[in-house]
Amino acid sequence: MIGTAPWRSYSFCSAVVPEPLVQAADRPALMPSEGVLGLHDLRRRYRSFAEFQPELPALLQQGSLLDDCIQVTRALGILEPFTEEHIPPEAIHIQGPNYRESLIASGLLSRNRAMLVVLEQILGSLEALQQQDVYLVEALTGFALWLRRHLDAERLICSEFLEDAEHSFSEIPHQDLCALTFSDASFDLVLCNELFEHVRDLDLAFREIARVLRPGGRLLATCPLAFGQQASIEKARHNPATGEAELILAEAEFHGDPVRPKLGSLVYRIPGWELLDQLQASGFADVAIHYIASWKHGVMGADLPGLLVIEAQR
Amino acid sequence: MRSPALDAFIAAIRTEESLQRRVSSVATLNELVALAQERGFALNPRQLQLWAHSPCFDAPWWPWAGEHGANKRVAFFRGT
Repeated sequence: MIGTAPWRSYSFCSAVVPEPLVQAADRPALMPSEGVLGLHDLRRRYRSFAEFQPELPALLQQGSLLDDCIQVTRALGILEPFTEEHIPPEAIHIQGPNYRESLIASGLLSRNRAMLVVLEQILGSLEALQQQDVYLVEALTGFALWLRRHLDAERLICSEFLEDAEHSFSEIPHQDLCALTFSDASFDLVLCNELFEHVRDLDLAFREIARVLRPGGRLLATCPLAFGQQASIEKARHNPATGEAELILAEAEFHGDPVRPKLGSLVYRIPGWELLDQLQASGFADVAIHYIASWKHGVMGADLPGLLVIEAQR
Repeated sequence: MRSPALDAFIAAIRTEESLQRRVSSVATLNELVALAQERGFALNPRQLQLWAHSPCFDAPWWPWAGEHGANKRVAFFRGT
């Protein structure tokens, strides 16, 4: 399903696309606006909420362009970050309007590609990524499969949090972000997707991640963010004395979890921008949040038209 | 996927009392790796660290068994 395509020679008028992978008649005619063209590969990096806040209204306004961006993706396909493989429209699955989660190609979600875009920006090439010792804090996802395909097994460690697992996962190692069992300075990269909202003690988890990273090593992460505010939205707290979670808000919120498909995973908080301060306090020297909106790479969001990726360097 | 060498090492310990006594007295992860290698199991520290929370390390002969075992186990594998 994946082939190479002369991407840069594509025109937005389907009539002049050379040797299309899909019959031109099957594609919507495209006349993208200037605004849509502006989202072809938009990248920003913010060091604080104070930097991000003034731009937020304009970014939110760009949300009205999301459907047009999707039309372009439906017509042209996407270029996978790092590999530059062209994924044709017929190999892309869109399962709803929350494109952060629903725009799926080669097993990767929009937020996975956002992380790869940032990684590629930092490292420069797949070859450079292959020289990193990577700890991926997930093992059962399409993103884990993608990394296993592209990285040497000796360079990549994957784990899941298997407490209260609803199935047996004897082939998957259990690790707890708050009590990792790796030596200090073991990895160049820690990749962490959609976990920070579920971790019982986020400061402890950040200290642990900083501990296992080598000096200069990086954490890259995605999670639901309260992007319009500094403070996190606290929903539950862990009581160390009882080992149980106590609700702060009236109703417990759970997110889907392949390890606990029936119960799901409890949401302790939706982090706000204060997360950057927490990272700095935990031993990271350089922290920022990247904003990526790129229909070229299939990176599109929901509330915001782009995706936010956390970067923290030791 | 778990290393076959780790599974074989664990199986050997389970069936051999003298090996249980040896592992119960190791003080560091490097000593445990050296013991495994001495017995012909090609293991490295990372393979053991990755599976540190596995039930195979719950057995009573491990040096961290007993009170505060969970904390001792984490510290042992970290090398702290």
